[in-house]
Amino acid sequence: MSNPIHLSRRTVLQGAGASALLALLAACGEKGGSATTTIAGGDTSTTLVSALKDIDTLSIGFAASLSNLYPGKEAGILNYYVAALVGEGLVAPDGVGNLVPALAEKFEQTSPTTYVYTLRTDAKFSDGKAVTIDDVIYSINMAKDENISPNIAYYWANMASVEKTGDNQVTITLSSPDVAFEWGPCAANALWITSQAFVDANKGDIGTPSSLLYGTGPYKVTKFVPDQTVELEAVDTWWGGKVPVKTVKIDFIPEETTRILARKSGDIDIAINISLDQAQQWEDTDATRVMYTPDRSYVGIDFNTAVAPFDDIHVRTAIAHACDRAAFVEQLLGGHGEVATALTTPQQIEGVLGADGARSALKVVLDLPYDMELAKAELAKSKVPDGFSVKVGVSSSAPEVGKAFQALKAAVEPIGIKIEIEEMPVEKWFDTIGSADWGLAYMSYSNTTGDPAEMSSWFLGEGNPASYANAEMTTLMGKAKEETDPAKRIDLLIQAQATAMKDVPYVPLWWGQAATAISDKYTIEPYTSYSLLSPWTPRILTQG
Amino acid sequence: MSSASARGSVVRFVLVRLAATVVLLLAVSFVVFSLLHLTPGDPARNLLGPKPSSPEILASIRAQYHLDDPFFSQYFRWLGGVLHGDFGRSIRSDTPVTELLADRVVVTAQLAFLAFAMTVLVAVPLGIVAAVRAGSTIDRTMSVGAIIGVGAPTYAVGLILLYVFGVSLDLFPVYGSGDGGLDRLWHLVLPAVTLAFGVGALVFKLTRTAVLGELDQDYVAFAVSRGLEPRRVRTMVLRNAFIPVITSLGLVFGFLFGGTILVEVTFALQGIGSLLASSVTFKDIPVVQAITLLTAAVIALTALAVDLIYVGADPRVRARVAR
Repeated sequence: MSNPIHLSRRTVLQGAGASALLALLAACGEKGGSATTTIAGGDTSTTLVSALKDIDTLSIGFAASLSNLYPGKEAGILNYYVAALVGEGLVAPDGVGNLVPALAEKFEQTSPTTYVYTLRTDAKFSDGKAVTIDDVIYSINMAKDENISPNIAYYWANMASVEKTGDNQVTITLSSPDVAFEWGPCAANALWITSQAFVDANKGDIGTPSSLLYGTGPYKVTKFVPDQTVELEAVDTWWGGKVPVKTVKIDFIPEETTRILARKSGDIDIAINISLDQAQQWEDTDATRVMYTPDRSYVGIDFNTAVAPFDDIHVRTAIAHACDRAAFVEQLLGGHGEVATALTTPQQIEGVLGADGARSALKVVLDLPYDMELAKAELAKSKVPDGFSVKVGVSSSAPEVGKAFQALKAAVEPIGIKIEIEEMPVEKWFDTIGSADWGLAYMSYSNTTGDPAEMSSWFLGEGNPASYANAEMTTLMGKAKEETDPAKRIDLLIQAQATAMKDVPYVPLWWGQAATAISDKYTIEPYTSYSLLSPWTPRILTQG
Repeated sequence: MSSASARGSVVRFVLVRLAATVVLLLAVSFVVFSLLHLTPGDPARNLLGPKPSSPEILASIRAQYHLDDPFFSQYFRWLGGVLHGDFGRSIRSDTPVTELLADRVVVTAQLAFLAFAMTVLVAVPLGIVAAVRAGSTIDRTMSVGAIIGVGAPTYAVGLILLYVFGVSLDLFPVYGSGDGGLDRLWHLVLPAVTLAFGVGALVFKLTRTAVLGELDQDYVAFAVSRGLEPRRVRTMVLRNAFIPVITSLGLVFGFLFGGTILVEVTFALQGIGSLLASSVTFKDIPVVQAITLLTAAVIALTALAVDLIYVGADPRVRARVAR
């Protein structure tokens, strides 16, 4: 079987100057998805013209901190945002989630398990050294090594081999077919090309203040103080050409009110991923606008189906009927979210089905309306008709989830279910996922890739947090792994989820949004959940 | 007793105390290690976060950091490293602990010293003035201020200072620890004031009480009635009131060094306080061990310094040490 997939922007890249392309991407916006960005606050009274202009220093405030710059070591979303400016994979998502060229000029899937990448010839590291196929192979093996890259090794577990098959060509062979692998060699997921000489010179350390990062992106790291600051400076070696922002300075400001004051005083231009709890304060801040966008995140309830009383479908269904998901979105998220009906988020299939098509396709997965009468009736049919007591662990970093469980607790108390909510540090919450000690738990997951199977392959796969098994679901997921036609694959994934959801192992609650506060001097175009996952400073436009 | 033998006694005293400090640090390290071991949670799982993983990856991380070794084997491996100057690697950031702590210790120490200096230079003199003028309007005003100072939450004080002096008046930076030198000092002023606010109020109250207690002593009334110069009386009073104040200042320094976390979070300073908090929840054992040992050492050495000041200041203590 041969199924060549040519990266969509290849011809454009060959025909136009790269800088011109960047300007084009930035000025016109990347099309393909249907990102629904909303903007609030700032000066919206006049129509401003946005343009790509040189910016000397862009100051950014992050709320969470980074202790290591290499996402293989620490894989928070902010690690990805920084690494996207310094390192590249073979492919990268564009602003709306299409895979476009990075270090590979093109790739072909020549059999269900074989991927052939052709490296671009003008790729250089930040010190001007040319990138070789050996660098690529070394970096892939480094990503697969669970000691060096514990956070991304999982995505490479299915790789059988990586070999040089031509002057500029590398071939990756998988042990078994998996279409989702396309997203593997991507800096938004699990690959940053570096060189063996650099890693050896640092005795295997990477991403620390003394070993930093070494990559092929438009910036190099000039300063890194863990949990405090990162400074990046533009280099002139990037194949994509000159970038508009010379210096990017990122500071970590854990206290949100301090971050608002830092924006008020003009110390930071952009606050990435602001707390939705304080969105109104941000919107009221002078000379600041807040941009919202769906961020491919999912929040939902997990039942451990191996633990009583959640081994009883009537108990699970009763709780599902007691979740007023529309009210959660409206009241807890201030409308900055969407009622979830599936594990896959709409943004991961919009590219194929369009915005409306995605939502109507996902709607068939879980359709249990909020109805306390039905909840009561379901509980009456269960092995515990008089109710039961259960505790749930909620991370203190997810206040909206805590509030949702408070609402659920109040809703189910009259029918005899007593929920005790235990607030805990985020690290302790990790232990509740899939644990037999916590029959009732929840998942808050931000998809890294645009692959529609990213979360469902975990949640419906072996070792899933619900301890749930279903032969039909497993067959459908297996077929989806091999199906290379995107629309057919999405259909299989949705069928698998719908099959599983008949047994209610999970209750999707909402798909979330991310919000960024930005000085009204600037805007991000396009602003989507993919915007900061590939070299993103060309997307920062100056207003007026 | 000759001055040489007195000096010898002090040296012996210091050596004994240092030996005791080493034993104390060993005990602290063992207790903290044991407590962390007993707390629920798995650092390997924490490293991976809420993401899919395989048993092989978890096993590999555990093997890398010897997390599956028996408890005593883990402890002695760590202790052996420390005796060779190796504090291990942070599990969370895969960075040598010494590299991770280097800048942070400096920030916390500078912050603690600055707050301490403010406390000593402001709270002690005000405490003396309040005691000398006990019952006056000045005394009452300052005492009410001190109650507010003791009661005000650090977090709120920090934000108010930030709003007024950082944003409205634009006199000080809003966050961060600056680039060293004067810039660092400029960045640390508001955090240090915030930190000094509460403890300063406490030291003010203690100083006032100590001086007032001495002023009520019979020897003061006797000295005054004998017509002793007020300056000499004051010196006697202050020297005697000095002992409890020094004790409180010693405690205050230990508290400042180990209690900077809220100020660090509010002002986005990267000191050891915030690192300790995140490392405890992560179960990043090597980092927690290093910070608790460092803090314990600072507190023990401060206590030793306070005792040495006693020796210099109080002849009775000096005589006891020499015995």
